Amino acid sequence: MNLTVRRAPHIRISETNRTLMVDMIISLVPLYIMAYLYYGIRALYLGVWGILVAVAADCAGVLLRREKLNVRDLSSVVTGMMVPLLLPASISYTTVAVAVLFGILVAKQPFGGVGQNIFNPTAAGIAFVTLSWPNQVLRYPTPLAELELFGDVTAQLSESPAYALKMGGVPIIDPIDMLLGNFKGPMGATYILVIAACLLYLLVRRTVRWNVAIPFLGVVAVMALLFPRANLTWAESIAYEMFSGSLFFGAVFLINDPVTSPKHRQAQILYGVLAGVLTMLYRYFGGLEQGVVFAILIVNALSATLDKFSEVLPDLITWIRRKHGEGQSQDRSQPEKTL
Amino acid sequence: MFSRSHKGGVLLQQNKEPAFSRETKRFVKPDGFQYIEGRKPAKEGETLPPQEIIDIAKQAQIVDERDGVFLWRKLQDGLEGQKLLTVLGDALDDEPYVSSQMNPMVFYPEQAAAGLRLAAQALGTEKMAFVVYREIFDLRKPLPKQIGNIPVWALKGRYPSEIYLNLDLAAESPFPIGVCALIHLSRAVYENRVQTTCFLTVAGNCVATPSNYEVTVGMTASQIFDRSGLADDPTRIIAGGPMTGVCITDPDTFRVGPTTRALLALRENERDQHFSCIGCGRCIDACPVGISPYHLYHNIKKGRYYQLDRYHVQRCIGCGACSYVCPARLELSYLIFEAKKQKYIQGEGGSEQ
Repeated sequence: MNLTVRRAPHIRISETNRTLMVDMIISLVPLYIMAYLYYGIRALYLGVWGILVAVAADCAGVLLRREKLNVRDLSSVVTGMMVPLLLPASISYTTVAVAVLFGILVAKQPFGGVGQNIFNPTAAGIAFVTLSWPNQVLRYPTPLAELELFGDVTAQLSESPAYALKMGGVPIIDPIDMLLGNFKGPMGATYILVIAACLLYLLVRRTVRWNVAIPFLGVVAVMALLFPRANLTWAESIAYEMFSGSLFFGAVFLINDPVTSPKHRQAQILYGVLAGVLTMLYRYFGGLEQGVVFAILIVNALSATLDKFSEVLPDLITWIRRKHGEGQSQDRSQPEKTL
Repeated sequence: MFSRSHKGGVLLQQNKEPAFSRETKRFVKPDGFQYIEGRKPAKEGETLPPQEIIDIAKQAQIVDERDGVFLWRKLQDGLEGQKLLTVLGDALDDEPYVSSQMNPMVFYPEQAAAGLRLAAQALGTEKMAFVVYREIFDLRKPLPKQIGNIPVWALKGRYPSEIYLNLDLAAESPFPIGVCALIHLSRAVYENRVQTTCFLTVAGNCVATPSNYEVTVGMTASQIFDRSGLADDPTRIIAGGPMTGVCITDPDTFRVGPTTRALLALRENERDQHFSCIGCGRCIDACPVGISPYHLYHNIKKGRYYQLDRYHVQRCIGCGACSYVCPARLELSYLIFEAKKQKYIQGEGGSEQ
């Protein structure tokens, strides 16, 4: 008998980092299918290009840090898949590469690779190219337009409904078109029904938890209801604010990133609320219609602090109660028995 | 709203069958019996003074299988405490495969009930009950509702259920004693027998006939596996439950004791997978005592031992729920429990059991 020794527990849940990442990939694939239907084969080429650059950059970063390559780690594939989906289908291959490289070589690897990064690599990459080439990133082709596979795109580009909203105008989108994604916008972020199904899938699989995404969406809806930006009915205002830009995509795929969000439940709810408020403030007072990635980057920086806050909160409450002469019996039970 | 809930834990697939519904098999050395000398066994229904029961438990050398403490010492402590206690016959087999408390309770109901009554007499209380774990869905026959007129309480909740014993039943001042120790107590009082045997579950995917055994203390693991039969070569042999047990490397020299609740022979082709923590926070949700294994792990890895108090490392009970759910397959529970031991238990001269 050849017996191995391992430490307890000897049974483990069947989920690993790999299955979590595979879940993300599974939920991103339908978006690529939709992008293919609306924008042709170029969308798929952009996706493959993003993945290739991301994996190469990630391997380079790991080797530069002189660590062992982990072939089972799929996090770079997820980053590479998400970046093109947040950009227009007419985007040049160079811009995609720059976004991915910035995300991985600046926002992820210098902090220590998988699980150590403070800022979401995808959000960082998108933020970088949005600020660098706003004309290219924020001008979109019409769905079902003919797009060349390589080289400069000759199709006519124009601003998205989010831009009209930003300028104080009223965008006109048919509700059915809005659900199906048949309006101008990032190549993977407009398919509201598909993204909602992805969110449902991820929630049911418990790959993401409701603690972040639902408060985030809730706060956005409430703020859209209370402070509509143009002369809109409340239902229109909520629909346009939530679904016209990349906000809904961000709520499902960016803000739920386990690495950069807080770990405690109360902190997660607070994090989602803060991100929602910041996103809406960006929309009201910011210079660009792209707000969600900037808001996410800012709350990313706060997540460790929020965690610390929720860690001391119970102690603080106990202390205040004791100070006020109540709750002497509130001592949290401390099981002393060892198993 | 902001008080941290204790509703952590994990729901485990229990795999208790077929060992649970099979009759307890006896595998006792012929010369393995010992009797208390110079004492007449008590008659059924006879009331004994508390101190006498404690003395018998001492002479019979009964060990509580829950924690390895001598039963007489526990009873003495309970008697000296002034509280009115509820004596609980603990059959909370919440770890998968293990049924070495439930099974004797079901197959020796008279002895278990008599033992519980004796323990209650020794502690001067009338309140008693058996506790079992409710979230076991694969049992082929239901657990009894009462045993010898003593109610059986089913504790719900996730693994580890022992935490609910301390929290949910706190108002009853629970005083748990393992069912096997109670059976041995009744044998000592009514049959004069010294505890020379122990109950354990032999199971796992390599064991030919998984069942519960009553074996003589000191038998080796390979003797027991010879008896139960191995259908395949195991890659791992575990003494104890799969969540908290330890691997043994040499079954020929490993001898079972009263606290060995199970012997598991498992075969796995799973490769070692190593990932880095992605901070998903599942360990925090799973922790039954409401501490943060995520933060403890990172502080231990970075050598910041002074930070551990801030994250309440002393509350860790080593149940293994955090390691179980970790998608990165980190050894959270081992590292944190070791850190706690270094900081607290060794510092106090190993006073904790």
